[in-house]
Amino acid sequence: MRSSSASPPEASFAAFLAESFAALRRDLPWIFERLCERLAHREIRIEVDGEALGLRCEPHDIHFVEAPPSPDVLLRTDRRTILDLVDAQRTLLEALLEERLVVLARVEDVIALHDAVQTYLHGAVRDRAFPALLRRFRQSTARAAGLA
Amino acid sequence: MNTLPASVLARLDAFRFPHATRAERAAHKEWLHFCIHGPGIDTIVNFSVTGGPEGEARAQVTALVREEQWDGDVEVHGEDEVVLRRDRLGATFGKNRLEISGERYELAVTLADRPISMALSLRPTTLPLSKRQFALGSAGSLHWLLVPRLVASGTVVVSGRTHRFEGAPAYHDHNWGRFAWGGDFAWEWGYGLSASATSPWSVVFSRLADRGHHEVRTQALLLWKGAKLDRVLASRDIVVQEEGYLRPRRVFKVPRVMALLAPETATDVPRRLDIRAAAEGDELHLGFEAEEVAQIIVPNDHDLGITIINEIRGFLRLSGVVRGERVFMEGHAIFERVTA
Repeated sequence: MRSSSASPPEASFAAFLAESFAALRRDLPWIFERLCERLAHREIRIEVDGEALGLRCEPHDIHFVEAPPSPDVLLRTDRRTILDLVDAQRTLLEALLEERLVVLARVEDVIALHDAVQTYLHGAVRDRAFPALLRRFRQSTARAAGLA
Repeated sequence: MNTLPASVLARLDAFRFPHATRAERAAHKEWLHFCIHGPGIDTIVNFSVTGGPEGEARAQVTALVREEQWDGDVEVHGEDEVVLRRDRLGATFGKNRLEISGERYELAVTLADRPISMALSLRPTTLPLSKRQFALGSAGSLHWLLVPRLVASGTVVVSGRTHRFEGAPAYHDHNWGRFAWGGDFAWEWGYGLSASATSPWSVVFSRLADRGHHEVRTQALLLWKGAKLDRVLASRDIVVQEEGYLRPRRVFKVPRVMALLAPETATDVPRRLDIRAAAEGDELHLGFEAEEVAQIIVPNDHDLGITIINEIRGFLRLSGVVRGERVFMEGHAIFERVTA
C-alpha cells in the first residue's frame, strides 16, 4: 500500500491529483472535507492513458494506494479528454457517450462520484494554486503527446 | 462631439483598491468594464481587482469578443503580476495594461491561452456620472461611475483575423464596493448607443433586485443628450415588462471550466425587455431585443454555489419625448443580467 505521503513520478496523473488534493487540503479545507465525505468508505481505481492509481477514501482524508483490482468505482479516461472537458471542447455527456470517459460502479457510487467531482471542481475554481497546477498538467500532456 | 477635459477624467476614474486599508481590502471588489462595437466585432474587456484574505491584490482580465461566435477567456493574475498606480488610473496585470493617458483610456490585452489580442484607445464623448453607495440589500454596497458613450479606435485580433476601426461606439463603467458573490442581490444593467454618430442620444438602464429578481430595490433610466445627462427617470416612474426567454442552442461560458459546473443552455434571460418610463410630461419607451448571450460565471464567496453574469448582446430602440423634444435612437446594446 502506498500512502498519501509517497511521491509518484512528477509528470504522472497521480502526482497532479496528489498535488491538487494537497492544495485543497491546505487552502480550502472545508471543501476538501466535503470531498472526503462524498467519497467516504469507497475504493476508487482511476486509469488515465493506461496509468492506474487507487484512492482509498475515508470520511476525513483520501489516501493514494495501489490500484485496486475490484474497486467500488472505476474511472477510465485520458489526458486529452480531461483537457477537452476543462476547455469546454466537449461536455461531460459527450465524453461519456463517446466512451472517452468510462465510469463503472453501482448507481449510488456513480452519484457519489459525480457529487465528488463537482465538489472538487468547486474547489479548483476557487483555489489560487490551481491555475499553475493546470498549466503544468497541460505542459506534461503536451510533452507526452510529443513523445508519442 | 465634445471631449471631456483630461483632468476631470483622471480625477474621477482611478482604482480605489490601492487607497483601501489592508482590512478593507479583504472584501474589496472593483472592476472597470469596457464594451466596444466595431464593425463586425463586439468586444467586452473587464479589468478587475479583488482583495484576498490577507488583503493582497487578486486580479483578473476578462476579454470576450464576438465575430460570428463568441470567444474569450478570464485570465487570473497573482499579486506578483499586478501593478496598480495610486496617483491615477493605471494598471498592469501580466501582459495586460489599462491606463488613462491624456483624455483617453488606453487598453492593451494579450490573452495567454486564447489567440486574442487588442490595442484600443477610447475617448469619452459624454461626461461621467458617479453614484455612491448603492445598497446591495444586506449583502454590501456598490459604487459606480459610468461613461455611457466613448469613441474607440484601434485593433482587435482574433485567431489571426485583424479588425481595425476608428470612431467605433463604446461604453465604460467602473464599479467598486464591498460585498460577497452569492449574496441576496442581482442586477440588470444595460446601455444603448446609437448606430448613427450624429445622434445625440445615449441611454443607460439600471435595476437592482434581490437574488431571485422578485423584488426590485431600485431602478433608473438615464438619458444623455450629447455630453450631458439630460433626464433621469427613477424607480416609481418605470414599468418593465419581460417577454419570453432567450433559448440559445449553446451558451459560451467563461472561465471555460465553469461549463462543467453550469452546463445548462437554458437561461432566464428575457427575449425582449419593454421599459416604459413617464413623469412630468416626459415619456420614454425602450425596447431591447436579445440576440446572443455569453456567461461569465463567478464562484460564490461563502458557499459552493455560483453566480452567472449574462452578457446579452442585442438591439435597442428608444423613443419618446423629453421637455417637448422628440427622442429617438436605435443601435447596439449590451444588457447584463446577474442570475443565481
